[in-house]
Amino acid sequence: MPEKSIRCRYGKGDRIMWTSKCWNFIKGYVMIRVKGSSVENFLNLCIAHGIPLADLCRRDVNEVECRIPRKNFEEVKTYAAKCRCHVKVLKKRDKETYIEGLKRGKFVLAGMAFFFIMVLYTTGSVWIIELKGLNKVKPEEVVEIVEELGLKPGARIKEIDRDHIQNQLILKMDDLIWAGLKIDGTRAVLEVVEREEKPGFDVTVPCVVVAKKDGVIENIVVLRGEAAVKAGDKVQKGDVLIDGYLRTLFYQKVAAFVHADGLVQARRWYDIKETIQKEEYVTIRTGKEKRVLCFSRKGKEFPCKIGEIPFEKYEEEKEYLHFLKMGDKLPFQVYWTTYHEIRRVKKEDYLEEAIEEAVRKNIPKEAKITQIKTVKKEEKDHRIDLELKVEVIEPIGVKTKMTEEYKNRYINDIMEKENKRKQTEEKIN
Amino acid sequence: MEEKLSVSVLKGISYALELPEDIVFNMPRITMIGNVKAYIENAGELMKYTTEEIRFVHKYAVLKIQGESLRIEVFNKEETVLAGKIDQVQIRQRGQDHVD
Repeated sequence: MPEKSIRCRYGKGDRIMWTSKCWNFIKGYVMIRVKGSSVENFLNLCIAHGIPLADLCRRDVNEVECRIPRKNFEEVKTYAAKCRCHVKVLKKRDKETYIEGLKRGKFVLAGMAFFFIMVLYTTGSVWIIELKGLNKVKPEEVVEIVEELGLKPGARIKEIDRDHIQNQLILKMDDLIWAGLKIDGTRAVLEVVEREEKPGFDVTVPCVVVAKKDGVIENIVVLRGEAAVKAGDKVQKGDVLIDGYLRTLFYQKVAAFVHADGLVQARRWYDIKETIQKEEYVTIRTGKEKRVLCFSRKGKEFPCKIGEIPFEKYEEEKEYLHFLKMGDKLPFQVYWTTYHEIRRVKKEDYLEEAIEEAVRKNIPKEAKITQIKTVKKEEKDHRIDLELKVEVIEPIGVKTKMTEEYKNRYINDIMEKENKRKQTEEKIN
Repeated sequence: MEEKLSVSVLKGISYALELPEDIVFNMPRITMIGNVKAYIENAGELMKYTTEEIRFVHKYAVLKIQGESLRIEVFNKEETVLAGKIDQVQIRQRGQDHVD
């Protein structure tokens, strides 16, 4: 009767089986076939003498196959003779056979040794260098210096002097103020902090806040200095919004000019003329997709296929495997290609989106839009000519250095006001 | 007669002390996983072994397991592990009924 294989995983017995199999593998075992009229007696005799049996399988009416420990083989033979059973060795595994097998498989051994050496070597080197925190400084410059210092793909991790690299990098590059090197497996992460640009002038330098654009003042918050305008005033580009002096200090004959600071927001209007394409239809993904693992070498793609792509219209998306993301360092590239099924659907609010896009393009980011008015809308074939009037509230104040002329003008102005005040006081007296 | 007396005394002690019978009387203890595996402790002597039926003889009972493609994965003094498609497990007390 053919043997039916029934497997049961995660059971207690499986663990026993696994450990006993491992133990048998180490100690050595013999697979035997016992033939005789009283096979059961033979098995009981073995058990009674403490010989463990495993993988018992009935092959015929008078035949049983089982596995016994190598050291008990001679003993088993005597019990078989007692029970008038015949023993046939099917398979023998012990130290001698292992050694013989290993002698025969020299190349396999050499291959295994080579594999382990390669694994040890590759895991002891840096293969990927990741740069973080670079905005203005070019990565090539950092890489060049770092390579000179000994950090490059293939460098041994033990030989990398982290402190030396960090210090030398900061000393050699004036644009960097801090560098931190972290080695994570075979990946070196170099994190840097760039030097920030110095502000135009210091807070101790007297200055005024002037308008950089025309507008109607919406609100003004003075942090330092004195307000030169009030809400509702119409201002033009270059007008002073916050004066850089303090009147009270000036009367007390103390250094009166200060570093003016504050927030001035003005209401402004933008005229936007834009031509947009009619896009009544839009392409969307249906959600159905097919994922294929691909290899590429020298620009040629080898997908692990698959058959035909089951979509009529689709778009491709490539996702490179992170652990193999080494640019051109590897002779081949491995990535997942996902085919997304796409469908064209009618878009109803395309005009609104187009207007929003046009506004976003023409209005500064810091401006807050309060009203959008369509002045003109002309549809021509596949395009629409739009004229928009957009009302926004945006900050218009900008700090500028105080000139000597400005200082003199204000001193004269205050002196005049003071004289007028004195004259009026005298008149009253 | 003496044996019966000792059994009854042991029964009384195990009942009073709430001791498990499999330890006191060295009875077979069977744990099954579905119908694919059976772990038997104190299984006793093997009386019959075919792929359809395995029979163990114990001091107090006869244990009969029927099924298809039955095989003994582990067989030693402490534990016996049976695998295959187990359909039926029968235990008869020895001396009272005969197992067919």
